[in-house]
Amino acid sequence: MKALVLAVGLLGFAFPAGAHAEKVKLEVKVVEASTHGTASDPRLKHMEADFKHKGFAYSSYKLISDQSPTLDLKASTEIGLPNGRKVVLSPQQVEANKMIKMHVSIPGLLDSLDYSVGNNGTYFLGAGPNGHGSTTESQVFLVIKHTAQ
Amino acid sequence: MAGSCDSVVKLLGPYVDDELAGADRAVIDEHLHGCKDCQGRLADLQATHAAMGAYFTAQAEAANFAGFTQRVMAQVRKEPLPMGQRFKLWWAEVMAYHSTAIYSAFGAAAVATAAAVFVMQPTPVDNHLVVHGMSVADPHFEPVVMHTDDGESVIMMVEHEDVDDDGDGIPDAKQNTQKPAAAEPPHGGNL
Repeated sequence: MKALVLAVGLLGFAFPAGAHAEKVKLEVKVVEASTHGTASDPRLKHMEADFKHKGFAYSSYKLISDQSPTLDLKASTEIGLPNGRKVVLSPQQVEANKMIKMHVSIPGLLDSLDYSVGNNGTYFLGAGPNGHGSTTESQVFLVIKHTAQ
Repeated sequence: MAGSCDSVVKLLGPYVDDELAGADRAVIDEHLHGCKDCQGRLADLQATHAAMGAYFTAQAEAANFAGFTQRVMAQVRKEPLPMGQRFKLWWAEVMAYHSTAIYSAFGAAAVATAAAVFVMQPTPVDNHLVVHGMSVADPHFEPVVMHTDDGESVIMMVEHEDVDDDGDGIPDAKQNTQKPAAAEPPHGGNL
């Protein structure tokens, strides 16, 4: 009997009825991709392989910062970038199919970017050149992963 | 005369030991009253019983129980049993007295393991990105959306070649002598 009660309790824990995500965990990596040098962070191997396969000639992928804020809907967080800019990220809504609606801005570069991404989805966002070169020579990238909670 | 000798003889031992119920005892008593042979058998049995009792009483009185516990303990095996035998003994005792609890625990552990496997299984990744709107603040840059082979999206900010801030008639981006690093220019995705 005790085992049955325990089993039911565990299954209840495993399948929370009607759970609705009200927070979004973001994993934000700030990366400087550059044609100067060849040093690449091993944590960015996946990104490096994807970009090389896509035709980008960046040879160096440097991890500048790695943050994982968990935000309430409509709340926002700011992350400083090595090119003096900052990115503002704000989850807007978690839809029934777990698609996450986001609002992102990089003042001075990108007024607004509104998008939806699947749960646990990741994308790369260019945040302008790092320094005075062109974006094809050196660009700050954000690797943003979204998880509804 | 009540009962046959054969049936009475079988009960003489319990009779002497005073182990018979009242009705059986009455039957034996009645039979003995009229059977000389069984009276003789009873006398022999009682004599043997008395002799045995006297013998064991004498043996018990002669026995030396001083240090009995120590002598018993001295015979107890001092070396522990091999691990395998000890485990078998332990398991046999556990199963003899706690089998229900053991089966319940195994059942609960199985359910908990199944639940843990379900909870801990990797969450499916959905990299599908839909851009609803984008507004660029710096006219020098133009967003270009690409997709990697893994289905991940890349929103690349590339310089816009047609902007001429300095008014010299030459787009600023073309004055940049640095060559693009991309082997092939990124092609746009759906915005």
